[in-house]
Amino acid sequence: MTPTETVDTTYRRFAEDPSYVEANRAYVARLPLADKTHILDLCCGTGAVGQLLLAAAPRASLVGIDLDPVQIGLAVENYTRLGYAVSRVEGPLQDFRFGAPRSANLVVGSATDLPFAPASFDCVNIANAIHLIGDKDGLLTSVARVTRPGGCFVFSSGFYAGCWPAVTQQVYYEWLKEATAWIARASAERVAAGQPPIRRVRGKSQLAPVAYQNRWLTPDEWRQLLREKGFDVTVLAERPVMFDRDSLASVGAYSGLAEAQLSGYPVEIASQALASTADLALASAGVTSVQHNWIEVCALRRGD
Amino acid sequence: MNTEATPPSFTRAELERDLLAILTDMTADWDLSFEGGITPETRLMADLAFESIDVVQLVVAIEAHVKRRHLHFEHLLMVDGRYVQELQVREIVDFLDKQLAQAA
Repeated sequence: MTPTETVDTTYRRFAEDPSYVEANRAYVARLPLADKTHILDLCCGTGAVGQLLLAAAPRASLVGIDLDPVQIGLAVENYTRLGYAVSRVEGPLQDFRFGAPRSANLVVGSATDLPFAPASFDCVNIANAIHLIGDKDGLLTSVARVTRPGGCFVFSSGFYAGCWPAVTQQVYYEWLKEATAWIARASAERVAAGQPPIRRVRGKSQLAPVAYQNRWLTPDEWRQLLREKGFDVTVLAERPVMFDRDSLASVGAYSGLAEAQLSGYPVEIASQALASTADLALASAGVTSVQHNWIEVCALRRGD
Repeated sequence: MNTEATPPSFTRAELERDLLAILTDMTADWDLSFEGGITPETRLMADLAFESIDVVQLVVAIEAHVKRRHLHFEHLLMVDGRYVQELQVREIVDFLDKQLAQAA
């Protein structure tokens, strides 16, 4: 890919990646969803996992929340295409009531601000995003408040202590170096063509600090924290997922990752750089794919 | 015949001196409230406000300076399966000294 080509920087491309899709399917397949009726999907993105939750819970409706209005727009399209009754929730969340059965109700908002009525949901999910939330104590307190006793809090995450085997650590680090070099070359080409260089503005990213300065918990630390917050863990498992060049290029192109990894560069260029250098990163370790472990957790809300 | 140039060797004191110079150059135009100059005790995150990509760029600069690639800085940056929250200049020098000795 050359610096003049464009790249899809939404989460859609990675959400459709075969390895990621299969990891999400396997995650949802182990959850106790059959009798659930009110699902809250935090950091819902394009609805990739929420759709699987609804498919596994035939009587359920869902509220999906994401900070990014672009992802919410894509979620509206996706749920509509699948035939759900779709609404965008604009009013105060404390007044929210589920309307039509089998509905997907989508909100631009924060996963850490949940002013729903207490015990509104019998399932709260956060797929591959809980690592981005710094105040995990506050998050779990809020989730416990809106989860009915006996309901479940479920999450998956590819970022926890122990998620990357040594070779994966190497490949991911070389990837950042290769992407940085790609940007330097692109900048030099621009200058040679009489254009301004690619400049980086330090301190601009909101995502970089939360992605890399949040302490990743071990599986045992997750179990302990959930217990303290009123949940009993029934599933805590690690799933190895293999990512090849196409998988890495897909996730590298996602603007959220690009902003966090190459903070301060124009996001479009950072996305191109990561998408274009995934193969070089794999080659640096002499591999064609890397193992990226996923943690999967299901915890039941204890009665008060 | 092997025509590749042998990478230069460095004493620990030289590595420390050169790393301090790289860091000073790298942060010269950063808007930092940090005072007193960079020393082996300086912390990258707390004192120099490093972001994760700054660490990558520092590693690239170091590897270019010592003329070696793939020094496996990930071993310094990830401990017990997660990113370290802070890094001192002295720790980088120690790591580099050890890695170069092993690579020699």
